[in-house]
Amino acid sequence: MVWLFAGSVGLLMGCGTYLVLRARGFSVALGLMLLTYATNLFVLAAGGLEVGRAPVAGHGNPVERMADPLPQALVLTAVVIGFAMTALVLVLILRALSDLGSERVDAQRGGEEQ
Amino acid sequence: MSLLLISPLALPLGLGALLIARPGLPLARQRWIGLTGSIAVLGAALGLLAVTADGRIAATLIGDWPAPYGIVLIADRLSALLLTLTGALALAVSAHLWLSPTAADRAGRHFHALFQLQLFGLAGAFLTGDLFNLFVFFEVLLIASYGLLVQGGGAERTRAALHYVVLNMIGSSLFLLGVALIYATAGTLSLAHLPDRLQALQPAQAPLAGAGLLLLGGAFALKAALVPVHAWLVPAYSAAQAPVAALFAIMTKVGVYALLRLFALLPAADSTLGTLPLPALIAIGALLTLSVGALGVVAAPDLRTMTANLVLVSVGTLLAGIAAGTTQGIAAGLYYLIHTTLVTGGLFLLIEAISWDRDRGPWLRPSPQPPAAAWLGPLFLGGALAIAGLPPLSGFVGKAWIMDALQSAGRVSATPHPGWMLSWALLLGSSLLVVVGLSRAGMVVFWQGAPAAAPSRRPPPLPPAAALLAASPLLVLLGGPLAQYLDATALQLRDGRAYVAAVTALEPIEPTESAAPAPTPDRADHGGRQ
Repeated sequence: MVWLFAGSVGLLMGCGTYLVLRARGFSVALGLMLLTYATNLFVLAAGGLEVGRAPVAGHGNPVERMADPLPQALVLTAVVIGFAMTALVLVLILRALSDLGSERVDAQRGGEEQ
Repeated sequence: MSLLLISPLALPLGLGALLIARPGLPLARQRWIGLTGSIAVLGAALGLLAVTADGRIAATLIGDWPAPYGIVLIADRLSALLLTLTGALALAVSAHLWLSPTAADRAGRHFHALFQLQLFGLAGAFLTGDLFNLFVFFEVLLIASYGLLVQGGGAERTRAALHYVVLNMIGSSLFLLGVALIYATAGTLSLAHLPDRLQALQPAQAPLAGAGLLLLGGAFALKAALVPVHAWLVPAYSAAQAPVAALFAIMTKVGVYALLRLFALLPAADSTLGTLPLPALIAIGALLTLSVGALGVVAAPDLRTMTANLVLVSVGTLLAGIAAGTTQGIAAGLYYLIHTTLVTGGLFLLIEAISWDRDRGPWLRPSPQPPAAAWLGPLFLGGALAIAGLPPLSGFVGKAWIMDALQSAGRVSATPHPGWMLSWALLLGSSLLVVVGLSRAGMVVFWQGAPAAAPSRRPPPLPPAAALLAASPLLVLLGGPLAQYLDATALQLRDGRAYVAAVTALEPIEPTESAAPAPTPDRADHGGRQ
């Protein structure tokens, strides 16, 4: 399972990097989303990959059989932040589309007196 | 003591929330609220400065959760110093907005709310005691800075903001990957517990932890705008409105602060982790940064791009001192950090006043002199002398101190700092280029062209810019006591035992006065031998 998980994270990371480097608005947004997903999965794996562990102790689950709660808390925070950031990037890309008249993220137009 | 630690976070957050909830408030009242927030941060920071001046470390637990689980706020000399710097800069920018007839905060409805949230993020980043909350506060200040950057609209700002956001999101991913690797190997993210754990890693885990530390170094280098990850800085800072750019002068310093904390985590060479090349890499990046920045200063077509490149030069210069790793190097770098933050902030405000009623705006082309050139000229001269590092102002003192530190680090230490002579050559060469660039700018703006007509509209206020620039002679006059304070700061940072003791002494429910030195864990002074 470790190999499967690691392979998926690596694949997501690779696809994200490829898309970000395409330097077109929509690809960059998608790429950033994939990078965020890959990062979040990676953080989740930092607590150790084990099946059948209880998320919360008590209710018949001894503390020894409990999953590491800290990475879960970290991932929860990171997911929220990543969500907000993705929304912000999408707004900015739409704004750039109307301001710069091009989908390329390095489009040149206006603003510079020559 | 806990009130002092919480108020620089709670007050800007509360005021920011208030401003978001009441977007229809008259601008004058919003400016009052903004000024209040800045004064509150500065006041709390001065309080912390007084508390920590004798080497004590103030720490508190949010919500009284015990230390490994709860959120620790902690202020040592370094945190208090940088928080004071933030407060002073924010106060000058707020005063500038308050005095301006037509200021940057008219363009968007949420300017002051974003400003307060930016202060919240900055204060949090300087006061937090663990790596993950450092990440959270980084994101808070970045989100606020994205909003502030695009205030006023326009294609140039949109493009700069898009690049800035995308690069910083990638940087945040790297940060998080590093945090995950460190948690997976060391089992903690607390800055106080990490040094011990990293010192005593299993050999199998050491490479992973090393990779995590290097990833963090990369993410912080991006925030500090080190070459090769510096490209976002110049477009963003030159596109931002003047008060925003002035406030951003502290943002690269957050990256520098994080790098300082990271250096303090690096274990000694005899641990399983071995010697990480991080300080050497940062030193090379710093030298490249100041060279690239100096070339940018000479090549800049307008005053704002020039000042943005001056930020690059100063980040490179101060990190060259800090990366030397000695107490003297860190103290000298911190002196230069104070100097450059205040002076570049002042320069951004001054340049707005210069280009305000000038025919060619900030562009370095012949045009009639700006109105009030009799005031603007001497201020520009003073700022230029300070930032270029010419005597008698603080840039000279800072640079001389850094160069001295580089030389003694190269001479004394067993593993010599790579080529202090090369560092000297680059530092002096970049200073020369900066002098050339600034002289050319001053000549074009103030000497070419006829005297200007009377201003057609009320110019931006000069006192805040002048106050920030006046910090430079003040830093020279107070040089002695300040140098002692910074030496003590660097020693405290490299020793690190008091920091650990302050966190381990924190017991929930008990009053914080019990933070007296508790049984110190038996621990080698790893920081002193990196």
